Amino acid sequence: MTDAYITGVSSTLDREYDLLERDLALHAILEALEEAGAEPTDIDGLYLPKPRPWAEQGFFSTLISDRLGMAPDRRLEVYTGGTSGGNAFHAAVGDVRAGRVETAVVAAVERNSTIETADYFEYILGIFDREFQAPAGPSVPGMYAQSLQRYCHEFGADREAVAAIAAKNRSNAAGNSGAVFGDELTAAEVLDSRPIADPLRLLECPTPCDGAAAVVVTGTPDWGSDGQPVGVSGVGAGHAASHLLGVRDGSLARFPAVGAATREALADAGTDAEGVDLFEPYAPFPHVEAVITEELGLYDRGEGAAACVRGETAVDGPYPVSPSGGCLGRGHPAMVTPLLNCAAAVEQVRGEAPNQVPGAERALTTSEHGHVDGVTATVLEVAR
Amino acid sequence: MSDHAASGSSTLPDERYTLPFWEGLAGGRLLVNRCESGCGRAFFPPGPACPHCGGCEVDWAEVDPRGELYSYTRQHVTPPGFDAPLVVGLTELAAGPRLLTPVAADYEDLAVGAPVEVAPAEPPGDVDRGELAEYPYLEAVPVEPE
Repeated sequence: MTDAYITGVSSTLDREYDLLERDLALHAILEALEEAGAEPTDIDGLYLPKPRPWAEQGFFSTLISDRLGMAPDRRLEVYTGGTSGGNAFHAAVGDVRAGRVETAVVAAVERNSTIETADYFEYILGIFDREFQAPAGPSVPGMYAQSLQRYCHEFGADREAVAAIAAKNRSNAAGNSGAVFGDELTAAEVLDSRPIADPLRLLECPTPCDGAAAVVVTGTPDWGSDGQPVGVSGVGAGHAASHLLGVRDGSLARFPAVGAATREALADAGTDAEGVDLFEPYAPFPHVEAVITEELGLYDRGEGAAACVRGETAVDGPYPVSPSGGCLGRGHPAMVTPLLNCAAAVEQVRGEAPNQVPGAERALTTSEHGHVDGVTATVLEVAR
Repeated sequence: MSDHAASGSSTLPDERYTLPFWEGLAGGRLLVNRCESGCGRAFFPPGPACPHCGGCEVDWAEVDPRGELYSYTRQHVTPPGFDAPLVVGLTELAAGPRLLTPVAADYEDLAVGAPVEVAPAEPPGDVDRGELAEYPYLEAVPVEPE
């Protein structure tokens, strides 16, 4: 098996861009290639989340190949909601490891500024079971609000401690110039914001934004290039038998797909959660971040939120989580977030990140879709 | 128990698989699927395989519509066609399955574990249900503890 390395990353993020998805994606790809010291014609694999249904341009990967004069024999546009970027990245890593592809580009783009709120909610209604769930009028925050209810009810988690996770991530983003929603906040201020889906508050919900990111994955890194190669040492995936309402026999406040995906990725990397220096998870709501740390085995059920209050998941804590600010602080264009997590982890391992975790050598990232029904996990580490 | 033998056949169904649920609901009965392959468990939404044991011998079973409110929320932002605020929750039936429905109660009056009953009702908003438009939808209604 060939080892896979990341040699170039690029990410761009804001509340709104007037640029076309095409131009955002081309910029991200070219910037990542420049860092990797590669040309478009070096690329023999192109992997993308399929752009959102409201993006105008179809056949997006074909268009991108044509514009860059590249002829990647292997290409994939994948749409599995929030894990699209994670699955695209893992497909690239799999092809590089198998020797089918020498140098791959994974790219993602999303513009939420081009869709009206009502149209977005209509789209979201369509991810629910059309026959049995959608006529109830559910929303994504509405489902996560219900897992938050269970998190506090079943495990005795303190509501203010959950809000402290949102405050921590918005505060982390304040130290990250690439983040969109950075603001030094307290848990009390988070809980003072208006309710979106009780008990979830506005500052605990991701704000729509636009962005693009690209990652170059190769089996033949140029050790002299601008971007220090970072090893992709572990990949894993998990999916529960569930569709937005949690597993049938289990708690709505447990996400077994996280455990499955991270166990596989950590085993692939030959390590365990204690061997990870920092975590950049896909956690669009604060209790999701807490439950992820619990599924990783770092904390007992319901203790993940309290650990944040004790500062243990801060940048200078023993288990730094979302030093970039994560979905809530950095910004969350869902198609792009998995690659933003990847880019943030690469910067950490290179020692070049805002909110740098001192001495970080190994990072774990995740992506998820639905109500954490499906998850991908990736371990990145210093390449020697 | 039903005319609509649910599974055990490889032939394509000649009507929507879940139709017996809606027919039952229109008649005031709550029907779910029950595994006849061995595990015997009730499950929802209806499907041709038991999600608990994977068995493909499945039949319909009428269950008690009463249960407990497993979780709930009040959405202040709602899909188009649904007035805000909208109270939505998950009812866990005594038979086991959980159903997502609107909840006919004020948010402040609810608590996890409160006794509720799932009943036929109009959908709480304007949503295109296609050929099911003629059937009632569902809601959870608080009931007195037994």
